[in-house]
Amino acid sequence: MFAKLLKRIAFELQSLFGRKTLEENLDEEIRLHLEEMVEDLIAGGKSPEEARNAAMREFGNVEGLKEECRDSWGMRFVETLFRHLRIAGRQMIRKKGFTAVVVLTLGLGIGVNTAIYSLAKLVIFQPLSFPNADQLVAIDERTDQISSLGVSYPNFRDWQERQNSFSAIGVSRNGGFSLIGPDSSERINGVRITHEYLEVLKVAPLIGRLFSAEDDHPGAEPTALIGERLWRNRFGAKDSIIGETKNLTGQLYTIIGVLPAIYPIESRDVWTPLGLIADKGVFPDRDNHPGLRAIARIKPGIKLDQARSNLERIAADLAVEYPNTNAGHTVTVESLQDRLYRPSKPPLVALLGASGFLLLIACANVANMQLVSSQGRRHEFGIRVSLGANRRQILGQLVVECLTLGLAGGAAGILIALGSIEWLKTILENVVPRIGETGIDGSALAYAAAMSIASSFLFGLAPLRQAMRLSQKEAISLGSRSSESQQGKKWKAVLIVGEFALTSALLVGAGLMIRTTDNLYKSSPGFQTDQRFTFSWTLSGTEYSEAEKRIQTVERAQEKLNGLPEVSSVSVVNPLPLSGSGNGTVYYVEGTPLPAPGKSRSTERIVISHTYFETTGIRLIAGRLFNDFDKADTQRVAIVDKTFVERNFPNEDPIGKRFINGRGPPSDPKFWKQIVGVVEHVKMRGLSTSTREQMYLPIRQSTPRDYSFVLKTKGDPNKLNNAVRKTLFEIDSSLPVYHLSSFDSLFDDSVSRERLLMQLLGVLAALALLLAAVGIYGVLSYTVGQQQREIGIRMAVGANRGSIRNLILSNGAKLAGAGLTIGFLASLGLSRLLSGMLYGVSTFDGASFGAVVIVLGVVGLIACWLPAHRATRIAPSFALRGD
Amino acid sequence: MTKQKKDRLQGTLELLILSVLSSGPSHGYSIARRIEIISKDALSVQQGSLYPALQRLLKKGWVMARWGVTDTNRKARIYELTKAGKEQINEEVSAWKLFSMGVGAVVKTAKLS
Repeated sequence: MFAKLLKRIAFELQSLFGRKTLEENLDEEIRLHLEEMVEDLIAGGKSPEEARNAAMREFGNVEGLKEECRDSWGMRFVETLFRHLRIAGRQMIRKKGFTAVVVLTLGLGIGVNTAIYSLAKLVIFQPLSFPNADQLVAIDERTDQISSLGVSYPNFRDWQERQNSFSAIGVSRNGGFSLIGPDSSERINGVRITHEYLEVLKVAPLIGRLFSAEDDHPGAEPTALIGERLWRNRFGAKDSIIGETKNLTGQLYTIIGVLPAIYPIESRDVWTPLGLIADKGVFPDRDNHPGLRAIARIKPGIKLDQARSNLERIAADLAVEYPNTNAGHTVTVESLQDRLYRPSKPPLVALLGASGFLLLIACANVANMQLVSSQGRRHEFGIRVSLGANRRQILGQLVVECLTLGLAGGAAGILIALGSIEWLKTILENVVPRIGETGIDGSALAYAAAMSIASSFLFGLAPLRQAMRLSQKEAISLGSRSSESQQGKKWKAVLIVGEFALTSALLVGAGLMIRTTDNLYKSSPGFQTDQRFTFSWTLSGTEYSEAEKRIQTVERAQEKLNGLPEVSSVSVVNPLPLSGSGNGTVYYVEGTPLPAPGKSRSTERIVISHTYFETTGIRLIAGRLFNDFDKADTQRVAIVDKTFVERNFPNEDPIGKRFINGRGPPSDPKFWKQIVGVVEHVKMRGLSTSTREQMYLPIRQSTPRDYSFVLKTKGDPNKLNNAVRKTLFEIDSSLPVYHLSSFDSLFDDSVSRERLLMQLLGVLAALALLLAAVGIYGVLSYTVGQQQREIGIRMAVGANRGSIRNLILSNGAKLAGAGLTIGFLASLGLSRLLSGMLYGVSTFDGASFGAVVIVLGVVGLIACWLPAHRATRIAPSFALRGD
Repeated sequence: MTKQKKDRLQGTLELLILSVLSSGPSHGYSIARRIEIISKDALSVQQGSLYPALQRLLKKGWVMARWGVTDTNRKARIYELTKAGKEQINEEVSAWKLFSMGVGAVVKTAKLS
C-alpha cells in the first residue's frame, strides 16, 4: 500500500517536473511506432506515400491522442491554473487603467485595514509580556462616589494577610526622584514598590537581584533598582553599576539590579522599596489613600470571580472592623491587561470598524467595475463557449482573474500598510501603549492575505453570478450594447445603496468626532493656556526640610523669573492643572452635622502663590485673593470654587465661613480654615473629566516640596526654556528643572485622544467619500450609457430633455435615499462605540447627520446629473442607431 | 459518450494490453500487432489509442517502461508488467470473465431473426 503510494507520488512528481521528458518520450515513441508501421506496410508492397497515409489513418488523430495522454499525467489542474493565470496576466496588462484603479482601490482598503489591525492586535489580542500574564489583576478600593481610590497601606497589609486566592499582592506608588550627580542633577521617573510587586509580575532582572523582605522595611539599608533605559542612556550599560551608590533626592541608595524595559514598566527609571518609608507620613493612616496602586497574581486554578469574592469579603470585614475609615469601601478586581488597555480599546475598535467599512466600499467599487467590464466581456465568453469551453472553465477563469486582482491589491495594501503604520506610530506614540512594538509581522501579512481573498470573492461575486447565468445564445447575440439583464440592474442598485450606506455611516462617525474636538477646543477649561509657560521644580534634600526655607527659595525664584524681559507675571501651583496629578482630601464644614462613616465630602486641594489667579486668568467671583498678609502664623485661609459654595452654602454668603480638612471639628480652633474668596470652577484634569469641588490654599500656610510654575509671557512661550533653566540654576544648581512646556501643548495633550481619533476617522471618511463618489459616478454614468437606446426612443417619441433628466435623477435619488436611510440606522448603533469619547454631542447629532446628507446629496447629484446631462445632449437618431 | 461507457471501453483496452504483456515485455507497435493477430483481426484497435491506455497503466503502476532495443533491433520503449500489474491481471481477468459470462447469458436469450 505504502509502496504504491510512493510510486504514485513519484509519477506525479515526474509529471510535474519531468514534463519535458514525458512529452519527448511520447513524441519519440509515436514517431518510432509510425516508422515501424510504415516500414511493415512498405514490406507488404505499398508505395512509401500510400504506406504513410495508411499508417496515419490507422494510428488516429496524433494530437488528440497526445492530449488524451497528457490528461492521464494528472497535470490538468496545474496546467489549467497556469493558463488561467496567463490569460489573467494578459488581461491585466491589456487593461492597464482598469488594473491600476482596481489594485489601488483594493490596496487602499486592505492597507488601511492591515495597519489598523496591527495596532489593534497589540491592544486587543496580545497579552502582556509577563509569564502567565492572564493571572495578573489590578485591585482598587472604591466607594459609591469614587470609582478608583487606590488602596491605603494598612488595608493592603490586611488584604495580604487574610487572602487565600493570590500567590502575591504588591503595591506601588509613583513619584519622581532627583538623580543628583556631582555636577548636574536630573529629574527621573520613579516608583516605590513593596518587594512583592516584582514577584507578582515575575519579572527577572537583567543583572543583579530584586528586592527581598530584608530591603523592604523601615530602617533597612536603602537600595534601588534601575530601569534598562536609564542604565543604557546614563550609565553606559555597564555591569559594574551593581553595588554603586547613587544620590536620589538627597539620600544615598545602593543599586542592586537592572530591570528590563517591558511594558508597562519600561517608562520607569528607578524603583525603591516602599517599606523604607512605610512608617512615615500618610502610610500608617488607614484613612489615607496616597496613590498606592495594587496588583496581584491569582493562584493557578483559581478563577477571577473567586479571587474577587475573596477580596470583597475581606473588604466587607474591614468595613465592619474599621467603620470610621472603611465604611462604604469595597474593591474592584480586574485583569491588569484590561485595566491598562481599556482607554485605548474603544478608539481602536472604532477605527477597526471604520477601516472595515472602507474596505467594503473599495470592494463595492471594484465589484461595479467588474460588472461593467464583464458586461463588455460577455461577447468574449460567448465565443469561447461556442468554441467548446464549458461553463466551469469560464468560471475558473473568472475566479483566477478575481484572485489575481485581489492578491495584487493585497500586495499594494501591504506597501500602503508599511507606510501608514510608521505614520500611525508617530502620531499615536503617547496614546496607544506599546505602539513601538507594532509592525507588519507574519500575522499581519496573513491578515492582509485573508482580506485579499475575502475581497476577491466579495467583488467577484456579482460578475461570477452573471457569468453563471450566461447562456450561449444570449452571449453571442451581437450587439454588445443589448440592454442589460434585470439581474445586473439589481446588483448595481444593491451596490450603490450599499456604498451610500457605508459612506454615510463613516461620515457620521467622523462628523461626531469633529464636533467633539471642536467643542473641546471651543470650551474653555476655566483657565487660559495661551501665552503661558510651565515647568516643575522640586526642592529636595535636607537643606529644604524647613518650610520657611522652601518659601524663601520659591519666592526668590518667582522674583528672578519676573525680572526676565519675556515674562509679565509668575506664579506657582501644586498640582498643575492638566498635568495628570491631583490631590483629593476630605473636609468638614463648621456647624454641620457630623457625616456618617464613609460619607465625608472631599475636595481637590490646590496650593498656590497669591499671583496664581492673575497668571491663569481664573476669575474671582467674590471676596479677595491671597495676599502678603496671609502668613504661616496668621489665620488660616482658603479660596474655594463655585462648586464648593453651591454644595455647602447654597443660600448663604460663603465669605468668612470656616471648614477643616478632616472628618470633624479640629482639636484646636486655630486649625479652622476661613474662606476669604470664591473663584470659578476649572477643569483641572482635562475637559472630558469632571472634577469635584476645589479648594485653594496659600503656599505660605501649606508648603509642599514640589512646585509647578506658570509664567505669563510676552512673546512665544516655547522660547523660554534656556532663560528659565539659567535663572533657576543660579538659585540652586543641584535642583532639577523639568517638564518644561508651553501650557498650550499640555492642553493639546489633554485632548489628544479625541483629536487623533477625529483625524484618523476624518482621513478614513475622506478616503471613503472619494471612493464612493468615484464608484457612484462610475456606475450611474455607465447605467445611463446603457440606457442610451431607451433614451433615444423616448426622445424620438417626444420626451423632452428635462423629463429625461428628471427620470435619471429621480432613479439616482431613490437609491441615494435608501442608502442614506440604511446608513443612518446603522450609524445610530455604531456611534454607540464612540459614545464614551464624545464631548458636548449626543450620538444622534442633527448637525452631523445633516452635514452628511448635504455632502452625500451633492456627491450623488453630481454623479447623476453629469451622465444625465450628457445623455440628453445626444441626438436621438444617433442614440437609436447605436451600433 | 457517457463516462461509464467510456470507462468500460478503456478498461477493456487496458485488459488487452495487460494480457499481451503477461507473456513478456513488449513495445507499443508489437502490442498492437499482437492484439490484432491473437484476436484474428476481430478486435481492430486503432493503434494510437494504445498510448493513452499505456499512460494510464503507467500511472496506476501496473506496467513500467524503459528505452531499449526490440528483437528486430529497433529502438523502442519497452513495456513490462510490474509486480502489482501481475497481481492485478488475475483480478481483471476474473472480473472480465464474470462480465462476459453475464453478457453471454443474457445474449443467449436473444431471439435471432
